[in-house]
Amino acid sequence: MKEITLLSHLKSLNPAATAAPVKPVGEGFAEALKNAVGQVNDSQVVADRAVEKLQTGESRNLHEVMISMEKADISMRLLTQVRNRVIEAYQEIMRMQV
Amino acid sequence: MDIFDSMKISSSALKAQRVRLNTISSNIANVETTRTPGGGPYRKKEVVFKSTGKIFEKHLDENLKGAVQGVEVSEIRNSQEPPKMIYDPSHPDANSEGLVAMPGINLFEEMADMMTASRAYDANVTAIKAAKRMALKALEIGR
Amino acid sequence: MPIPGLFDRTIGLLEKTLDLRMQNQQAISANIANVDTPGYRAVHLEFEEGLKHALAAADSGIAPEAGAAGGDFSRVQARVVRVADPSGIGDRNGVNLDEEMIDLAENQMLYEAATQMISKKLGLLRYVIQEGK
Repeated sequence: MKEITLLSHLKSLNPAATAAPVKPVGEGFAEALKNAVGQVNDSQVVADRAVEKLQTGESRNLHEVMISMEKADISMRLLTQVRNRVIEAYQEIMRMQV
Repeated sequence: MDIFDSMKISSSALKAQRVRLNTISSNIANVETTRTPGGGPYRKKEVVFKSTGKIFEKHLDENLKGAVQGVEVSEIRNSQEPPKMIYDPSHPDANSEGLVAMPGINLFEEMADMMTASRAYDANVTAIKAAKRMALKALEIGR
Repeated sequence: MPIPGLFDRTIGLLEKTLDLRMQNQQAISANIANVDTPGYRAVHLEFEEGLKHALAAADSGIAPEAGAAGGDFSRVQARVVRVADPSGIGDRNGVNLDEEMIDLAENQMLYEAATQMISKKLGLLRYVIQEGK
């Protein structure tokens, strides 16, 4: 069992030393959204490159192209739905009587 | 550019190969014919194939014109080979030396020719099927 | 109203590919039709290289304006190559039927793949515009 001294106790109270600093809620969500959009865009680019490689003869890997197209498609649809939910939630909050 | 041009090309080949098959059948049927209305033994018939651009009217793209062509039978001609003389004095058409002028048709040759014609026919049918499928797929864009 | 940049470069590529593969279908049909024509030279269309160059030019060339669809594919043309019979015997017909059948299948497959892909991309655009409702 670790020794509990006054020093260690004081250190744990120091917010700078906390293992997982808690960011303000708004910022964390914005980060996550930005990442999601970036990933969806990446998957679109990957799918486009795969299509180009197939049709210019660089690669005849048909299932790779079909799968990456489907992935890009699904990611985009998911993002659209998430966006819709976020907007609905925002509108609901704005409707709240304070 | 017309998907049907591709099918017209293939169907011109189907027609040509059918004509060829008919001539082969005629040859095989007449392998022993020593009498014809025009006199003399049956002469083996041969088809001559020729590329043709006649089947297109206006649709073909500029860079393909002249290169992409269908096929037609330009003539059905009699074989140039002389009739084969067989020694058979008992034959009704034997001449003074007992020789009969036979058509000289080689059955094996005709059968091989028939297989080639049949294979070419099948290949063209496959080409038509491919063109048809492509057109149907194009119709599904946006569905 | 045509919005520049609404239809991206890949859609342009796929449109051109469909054109070229349709032409290729005609060339392959012509070869199969003329498999027994004496002295016939097989018609082969080369365009994959041309497409690759157009893509590379779009990548490295003029800096694209914001939202503009890069890559002018409308000028890519298939190159016609005529192949004579190399063996010099028989009826001097340049068509290799087995090769043509394989080309037929491959071209058909790639054409159908392209229709599927363009359909998917346009469908996704429509979905996003309709806000997924």
